Amino acid sequence: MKIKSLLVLVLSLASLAAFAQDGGVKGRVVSRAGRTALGGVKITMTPGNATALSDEQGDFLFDRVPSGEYTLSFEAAEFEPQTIAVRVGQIVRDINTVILVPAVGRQMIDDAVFAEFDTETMDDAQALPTSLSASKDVFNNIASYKFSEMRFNVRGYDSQYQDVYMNGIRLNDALTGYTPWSLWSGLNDATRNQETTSGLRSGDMGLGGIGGTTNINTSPSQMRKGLRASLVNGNSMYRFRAMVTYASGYQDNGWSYAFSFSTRQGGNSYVHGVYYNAYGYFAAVEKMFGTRHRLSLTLLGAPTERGAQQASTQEAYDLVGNNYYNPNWGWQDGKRRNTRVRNYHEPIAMLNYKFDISDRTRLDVATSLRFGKNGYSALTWYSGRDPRPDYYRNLPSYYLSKKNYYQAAWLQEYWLANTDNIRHVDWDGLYNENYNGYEDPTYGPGHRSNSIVEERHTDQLDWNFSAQFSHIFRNNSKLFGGANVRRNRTEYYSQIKDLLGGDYWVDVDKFAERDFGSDVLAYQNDLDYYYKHGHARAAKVGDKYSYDYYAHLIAAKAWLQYNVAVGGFAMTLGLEGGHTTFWREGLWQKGLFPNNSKGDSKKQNYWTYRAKGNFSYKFNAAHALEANVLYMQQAPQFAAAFLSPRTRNSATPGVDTEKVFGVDASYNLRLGDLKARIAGYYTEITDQTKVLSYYDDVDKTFTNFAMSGIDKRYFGLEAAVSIPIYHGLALNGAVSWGQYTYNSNPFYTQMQDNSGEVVSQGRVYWKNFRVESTPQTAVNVGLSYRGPRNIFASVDFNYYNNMYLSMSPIYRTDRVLTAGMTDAEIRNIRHQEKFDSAYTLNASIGKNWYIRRAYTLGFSLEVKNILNDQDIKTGGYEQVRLSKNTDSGITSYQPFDSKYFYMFGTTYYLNIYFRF
Amino acid sequence: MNRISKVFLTLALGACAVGCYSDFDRPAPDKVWTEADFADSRLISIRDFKQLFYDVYGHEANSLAKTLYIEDDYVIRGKVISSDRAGNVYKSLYIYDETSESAIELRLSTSNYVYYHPGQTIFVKTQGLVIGNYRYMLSVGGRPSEADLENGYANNNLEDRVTIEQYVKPGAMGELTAADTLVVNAQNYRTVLNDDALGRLVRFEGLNYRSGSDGSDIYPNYLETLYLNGSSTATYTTKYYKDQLIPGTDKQMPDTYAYSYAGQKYYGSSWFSFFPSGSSAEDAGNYIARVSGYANFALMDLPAPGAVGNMTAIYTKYSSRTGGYIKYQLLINSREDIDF
Repeated sequence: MKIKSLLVLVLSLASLAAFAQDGGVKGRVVSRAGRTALGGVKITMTPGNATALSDEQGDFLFDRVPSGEYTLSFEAAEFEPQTIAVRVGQIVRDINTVILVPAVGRQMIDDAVFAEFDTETMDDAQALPTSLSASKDVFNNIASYKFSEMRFNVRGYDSQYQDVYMNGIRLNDALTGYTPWSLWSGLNDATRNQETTSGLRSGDMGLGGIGGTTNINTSPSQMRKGLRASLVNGNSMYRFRAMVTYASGYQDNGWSYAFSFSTRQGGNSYVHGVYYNAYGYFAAVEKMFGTRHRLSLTLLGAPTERGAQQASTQEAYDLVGNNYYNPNWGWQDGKRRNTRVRNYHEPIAMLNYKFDISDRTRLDVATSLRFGKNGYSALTWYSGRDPRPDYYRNLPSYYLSKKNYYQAAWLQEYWLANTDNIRHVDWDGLYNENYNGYEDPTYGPGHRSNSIVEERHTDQLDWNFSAQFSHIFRNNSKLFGGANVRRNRTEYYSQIKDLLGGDYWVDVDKFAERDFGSDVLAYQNDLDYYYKHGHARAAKVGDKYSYDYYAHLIAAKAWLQYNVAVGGFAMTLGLEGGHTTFWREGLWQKGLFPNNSKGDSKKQNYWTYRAKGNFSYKFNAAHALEANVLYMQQAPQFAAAFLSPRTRNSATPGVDTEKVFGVDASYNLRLGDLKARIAGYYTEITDQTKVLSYYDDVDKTFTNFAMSGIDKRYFGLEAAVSIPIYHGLALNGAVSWGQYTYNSNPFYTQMQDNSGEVVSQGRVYWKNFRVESTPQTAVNVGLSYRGPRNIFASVDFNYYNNMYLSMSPIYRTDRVLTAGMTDAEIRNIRHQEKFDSAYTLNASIGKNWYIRRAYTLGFSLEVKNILNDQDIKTGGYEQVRLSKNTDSGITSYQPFDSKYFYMFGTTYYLNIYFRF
Repeated sequence: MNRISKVFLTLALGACAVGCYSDFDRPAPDKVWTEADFADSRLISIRDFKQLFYDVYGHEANSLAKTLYIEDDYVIRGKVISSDRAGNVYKSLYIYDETSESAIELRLSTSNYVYYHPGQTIFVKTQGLVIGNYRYMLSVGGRPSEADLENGYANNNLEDRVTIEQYVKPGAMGELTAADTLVVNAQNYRTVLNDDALGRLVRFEGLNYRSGSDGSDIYPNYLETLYLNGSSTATYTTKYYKDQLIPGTDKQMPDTYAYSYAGQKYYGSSWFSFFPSGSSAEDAGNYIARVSGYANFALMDLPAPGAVGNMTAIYTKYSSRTGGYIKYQLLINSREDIDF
């Protein structure tokens, strides 16, 4: 202590220039991932412009430096430049470790690319890509960025198989497993520091699964110092984005801070009614105590309102004359109003403590809280016509199927001419229904609304705690591990967003009222309210209605990894064990299920574990082999574990843990700037569970269709190469060939939602059919140029094939079979549509200027789908409903037309940025 | 730092200024159609309009399933007298023209009560529509398809919004008055109630609820409708409540207006008569209340045998496909119209 006081005194005195003597500064440069020493890092000290290179241990030293304030700049290939301020006194000061962050090789993708992909039966879940993160890997860079236009999923996996961490805490959605990109969308600068692993590789933050890991580091001390501002103009997602970020860098007083603000506004050039009104904010502060303790606090959020697009049938697209028709909107007040608007603001607050116990031992403790609101609006109606313009009875095909050619012809005319805005939601009509709505004094004065806009909420309270340690032994082997606890309570409810000119909405279950109309208790959504007031709730704007329940989850796990390298051989072995409990807590007593709706459900308990091995052998600097293996058992998702959580506590029949087995192997080549990788992979996922809720046309009732024992198999090859050709010009290319299939005929139980009675049971015959939603073949060939004076340009040709429509399991059951069907007819109803192959041409160009050696001004312009092909299907799904054909004397069933999404025609994205 | 704050502030203000995506004025009320809007059309009474059909096909059994295509610009006007709110009336709207004391059915989609209100005046531009005769009841609807004609239907429902709005023009709101309902009792039914009143709202006073056989049929009953072995043609079986147990219980099924159990809905028929005994359901002064299993009063108990009461209902006529076995059926709007 005395020595320390003395040092402080000496340092203070040293600032008195009159008595100044020469001192110095030394330290060690390490990479953030794994804290490995970085040699050859160029360090520049200003003023004075003295330079040094770090040695193989990462150590550097400047001595005989006059006392004063200096700036140290660190530069190394593939790492973000780092600048720190130091005060030099009379002695050589040890600033300990300086951490460099891997550079992000390219622009990050905005999650907006994917966000509008909504379907009817996914319970409004967002479909997100498996990877939005940057990667140094030659294949993944192409796969996750250049193929994103086609909603390409690396190796075919859903996003839940990629683990996304922020500052060491895994933030995948606790209940669905989806990646959480939307929580910080628009905050690209603040979340730029990312470390990724791909495929089966383990991460530093945990073992990871089969889809790789990403850890976003928001420590302000590790952000590039200075101000960055950028302005985007584009026509594919939103019109404008503005973003300003400032990071202080590490300051000599131990503090660092950063903040960022962004907004995204407007719609796109192709789909009407879609828009962004989104903001993002980020603030982080960090304090270093002594040389070994760091504490940081991060707060970020992305309040977002955006209109969604819904897929429609080809019939509707053809009638309207383009493939971007969006049935979600209608005219009101001279403006387009969207029925389906996402509105969310779910901030995350996070506290991180890092303790460098020694040069070789480290402890990280983190805790986070996610809170706020997440709503998604939709039209709902009590009775009357279905207000969705592309409802099947509003289209000519419905009348054609009934051989009513006259009416079909008229409807075709109306659609072609858009008579009375037949293509759009009739807001005026909905208001007028409500202006004249039924008056019932039971519910107070005014008119009862028949149609309203509701907002379905999924409001999370998600708390995480994580502790991790790592220790590097003398032989450079490394032991690292951690423990995580997660507690999630999510409230699911719907609330009235707009009564559309009426005065109240009567909160009853309309399907139950139709079926059990003479039993008034049966169709109450909230029996407690009914008993207290003698009638159902007359819900006003902002009131909850229809359903209200909590999903509770408690999960804990611990993991350990050991990494050792001997010669060219390296190996990481990892084990993880944990336990997950979840249950439903009904807040309302539902009339249909008075004894099974309010209060806690039975708790579902699952033991989870995983084991992983990563092995690599480096022949020399140019050639390396790698192989990985994983087996894991994980809890099912809450959303699939309850049969009808809006109404009752019943668990999904057959729900079980999901098992994943995966292996992959790859060969890496690196000769100077020539890089290549080829890899093969094989994965089996077994015992998945899924629930669909839909109106069953066979039994004419709303049903829950629960499948268990869904197995999938994924295997394939991926290869990529980057070949320098001439002076900054490089040829790059990637091929992803895979085969992703359903590998079982899952068992299903279909139950009537109103009563819980089993309607049917059996198997879904889809073994060997293809997994949907991603091209199973994708090829890229591109040229990139990085020239003098910071000019860069690229042109890419992409080819896609083997993309399949998402299947409705109902079509593959025996329920839709009728007597006398031929084999060909059965094959026809079970057939899975394969999309046409497609190719695209994209290009980008950019340049930046250094101004007075202090400022950077630059731009990048990317143009996609230059060939303007507007007939490329990027996704779609079969509707679950069936139409009844009664012509032949025997009732038979025809699938409803499928719905599709199409890639936009030519789009551009212009980014102008400035930083100093 | 100051400069940075200013940049942030400017951006924040700029962004807020454009954030007006969910700000919409309420739409104005719909146009209220009046006779003046049809000055260029031929506004005729419902009685005259129905007469167009009778002039061509007459009133007899051979007029059944016949279709009259309206090619001239005829417009009819009437007050709404039916409501499908209770679930008994299905895909129909009955309008009554007080000047000619005549009513007609419009074949539309479901939940007409949402768009058309009892007492409200409705105009129908009939050019392009058809009058069809289904078992002696005339209705206005769309052109029948081949399948409709094969099944004995002479016209079709107008189902989608745009098609309906092409033809049906809502006028002023109003009230149903006593004058809009034809009052019938045991003394006057033979004189005031005839086929001119088909489709009208009629109040029957002093009706006897009848239970048992009328000589050929037994009341009350319900019509079980099953599609056996995937057949697209229904198999109909007349059944009696008293012979059945309530599904899932060992309780005898009570006599109700219709059948609505275990998700199954069947039409029920019950017999009301100006005669406390004797007579047949096919005789004048006898009426069948035909109620849908979807009606919210389907499971309402029928009156005790011999009970006397009043009932208000749309007066309709039904026969076999060839025009025989004529019965008059009562189409009840709501449970409030049953006064027993």
